[in-house]
Amino acid sequence: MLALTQDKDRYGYELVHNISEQIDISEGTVYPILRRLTKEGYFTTYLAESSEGPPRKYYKITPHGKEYLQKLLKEWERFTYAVNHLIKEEA
Amino acid sequence: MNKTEYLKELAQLLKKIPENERKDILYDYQEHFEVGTDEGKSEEDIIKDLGSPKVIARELLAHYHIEYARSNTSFTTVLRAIFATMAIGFFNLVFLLAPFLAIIGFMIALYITSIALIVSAVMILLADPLNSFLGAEYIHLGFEGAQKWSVKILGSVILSGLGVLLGIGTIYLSKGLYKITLKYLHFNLKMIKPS
Repeated sequence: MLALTQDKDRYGYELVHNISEQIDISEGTVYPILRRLTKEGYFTTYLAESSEGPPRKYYKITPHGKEYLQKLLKEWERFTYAVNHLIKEEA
Repeated sequence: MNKTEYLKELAQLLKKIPENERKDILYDYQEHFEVGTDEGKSEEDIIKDLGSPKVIARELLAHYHIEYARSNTSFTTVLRAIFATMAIGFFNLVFLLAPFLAIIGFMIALYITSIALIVSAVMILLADPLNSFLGAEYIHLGFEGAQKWSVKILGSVILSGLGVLLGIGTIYLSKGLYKITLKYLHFNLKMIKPS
């Protein structure tokens, strides 16, 4: 979710829908995670008019959120590198 | 089930959460339905993709109780947070139950020891008057020289001192454990997701 908001603010439905398309998780349980990340200061939210229909709640990543994302990405990189290395050695 | 029924059920399940926060939570799901409908999805499909309100509510309640216990730390609030997290799913339960039982058993043992020390300190002083009052034989407390008052008082002071110190230590230990428990619950929620 942090990665999805890196370049542009997104509204809840967009985030939830994108996540549940890629990962096997029901859409309803993504909102609590979004709430948690917001409460921990990784996102700020604001209401904005959309081209169609009522205003939507947008999520914007904070500097703190960007820092956290970088940390997670580095961890992920190290982890995948290690796993790839192990798989190659095995073959 | 339609949109109204779905939101109503979710609201009902979240009634323990204060109104402000609950409204905020429900707003997200309301908006989800609105956007979904705009994108041409039927209410039925939206509900199918959202999943059961019960699962969502369990997750939200666990978050709520952990947060609440963080700002109002006490035995009951921490206990509630533990139970709310256990309710989420099988793996949450498995990873919580054993450490929870072990720690609570250990803490109870410490509290009982502390109380026993203080009670025995009182008993040393009361043993003689109590015996004569009951007309019973002398109760052996395991202190051979305990018949002398000076020895009795010294023993009593040492025992009660130990009891009080252990009690205070245990209270501090409990407070530290509350914090660690809440951290672990938070970690448990982050790691283990319902599918």
